[in-house]
Amino acid sequence: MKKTICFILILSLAVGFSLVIMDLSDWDGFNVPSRFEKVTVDLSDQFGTDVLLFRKELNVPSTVEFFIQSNDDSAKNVKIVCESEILGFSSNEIEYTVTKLTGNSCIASTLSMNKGGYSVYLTSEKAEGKLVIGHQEKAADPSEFERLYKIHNGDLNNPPEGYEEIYSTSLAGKSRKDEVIYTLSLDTARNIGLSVYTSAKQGTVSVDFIGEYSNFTGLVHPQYGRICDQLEATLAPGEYRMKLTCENADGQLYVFIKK
Amino acid sequence: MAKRKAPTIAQANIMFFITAVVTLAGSVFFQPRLGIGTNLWINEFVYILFPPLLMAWINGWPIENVYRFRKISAKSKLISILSGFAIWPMAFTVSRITRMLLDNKIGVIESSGSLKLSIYQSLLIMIGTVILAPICEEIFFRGFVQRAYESRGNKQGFVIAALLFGFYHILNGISEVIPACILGLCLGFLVYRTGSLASSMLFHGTANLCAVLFGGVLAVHTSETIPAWLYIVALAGLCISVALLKSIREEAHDPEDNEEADRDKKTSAAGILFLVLTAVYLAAVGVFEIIGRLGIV
Repeated sequence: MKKTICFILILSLAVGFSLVIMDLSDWDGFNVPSRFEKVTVDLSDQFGTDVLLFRKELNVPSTVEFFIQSNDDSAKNVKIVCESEILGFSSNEIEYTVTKLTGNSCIASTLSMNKGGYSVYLTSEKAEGKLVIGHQEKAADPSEFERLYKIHNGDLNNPPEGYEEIYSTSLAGKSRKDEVIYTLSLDTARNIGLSVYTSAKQGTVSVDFIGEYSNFTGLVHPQYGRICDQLEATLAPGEYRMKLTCENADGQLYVFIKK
Repeated sequence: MAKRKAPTIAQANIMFFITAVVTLAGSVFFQPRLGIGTNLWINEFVYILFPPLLMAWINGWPIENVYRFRKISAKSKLISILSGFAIWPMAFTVSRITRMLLDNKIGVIESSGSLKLSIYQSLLIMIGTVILAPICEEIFFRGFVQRAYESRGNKQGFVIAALLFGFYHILNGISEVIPACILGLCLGFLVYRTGSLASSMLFHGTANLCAVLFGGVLAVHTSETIPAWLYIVALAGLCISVALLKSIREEAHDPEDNEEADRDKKTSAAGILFLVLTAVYLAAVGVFEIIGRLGIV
């Protein structure tokens, strides 16, 4: 039996060593989940200002998920330009600065886009590494998209099913710094959902959900995300405060919670 | 003073502590860098297989006798394989129940989502789980640890080794402790009955093969609730496995197996110290998981 075990172990070692070598020689540092369609950009080949990387047609309103990584240190700008609206954003362009992000590090983003299409551009200097953009388009549920579209156009009182309003205000003329607008006390660990919407298009608006052990800061922003929809989290027992900071803002703010 | 011909409890406790610490530390370092499959192989070869082989080399132990590399009958082989197959649904079900309880009562560990595994990493995981882990872990837990604790009696030996085997699996999550204890008891019993690691390696390999073949699919289908049929299959499997294990014939033991049993009734202070250290360390790992589930870290 000793010989059999030795044989199996030595054979395993040889096979395992070969697999590890093949895996290491094959690994480029990227870990894009398989559900994404992957676009790999060789930065020594494609560089310059606003170089079009790819365009995607959206025949119906869609939720588009991005997963961006690079194995090059230099700062590169990846710009997503939507031909129609990006819900919750004041502009139809979003720009991400990408440095070295490999393994489990990435820029991840989920955008709700109206039908039309979108293009992705790169601004980068010539470099040796690669940039990988994973993207996945899913047709949005029509009723959900309609609800979010209403919110995008200023009709904020449209919470998802099961959510109840805990705060609403007009932001015009208000100046607040970390004002507590809601307090949540939990005796046991609970799953909660948060939805925060604002129609502010100027000034400063920030809503933070602060607990002893869990913090969610900057849930909405006048330019880069006026819709924070159904943020779900498991919270430890304790006290949580929702704080509002605003200055020179316009529009409304609505906060909903699902306990 | 003559050297012992078998491991002592103190040696087993010290090695168990070192193995538990370096497995976690090594995994934290290597897994993100080399991948989950490569890390599994490092764990099995370096931290689990190497210590008992090193101890045997240092102490001049004949490996075949001390770690019980002995042939068993074809019937014992078949029973080991069948009972390993039959017990797996119970281990899986207990693991799911525990995980659901932890998820619902304490909280869910936030996951960054499933990452893509290369074909090489997938192969490393499969071969490592089905072939390597059963050989290496059996040499460590049944060959080395159980053998050491058998100095307090054969039954105590396999029960304590099963508990240590179970609690070692807290490194894979709290939900794995009870299933690993159940499997550990079966594995220890097989070695106790047959006097050979061949039986426990076959049992362990079969149970792990079931996990590879059915674990993923069943995990998806039991993510919300556990269906009634799974409880029935698990209970039936447990009964069949116990019946099979009880039917296994006690094979002729080497008289050296128990010759020193009377000499090691007392565990040295170092042995106790390292057992306490291991208990504190593994408890800390469990507490860390609970803190993670509470969302504190």
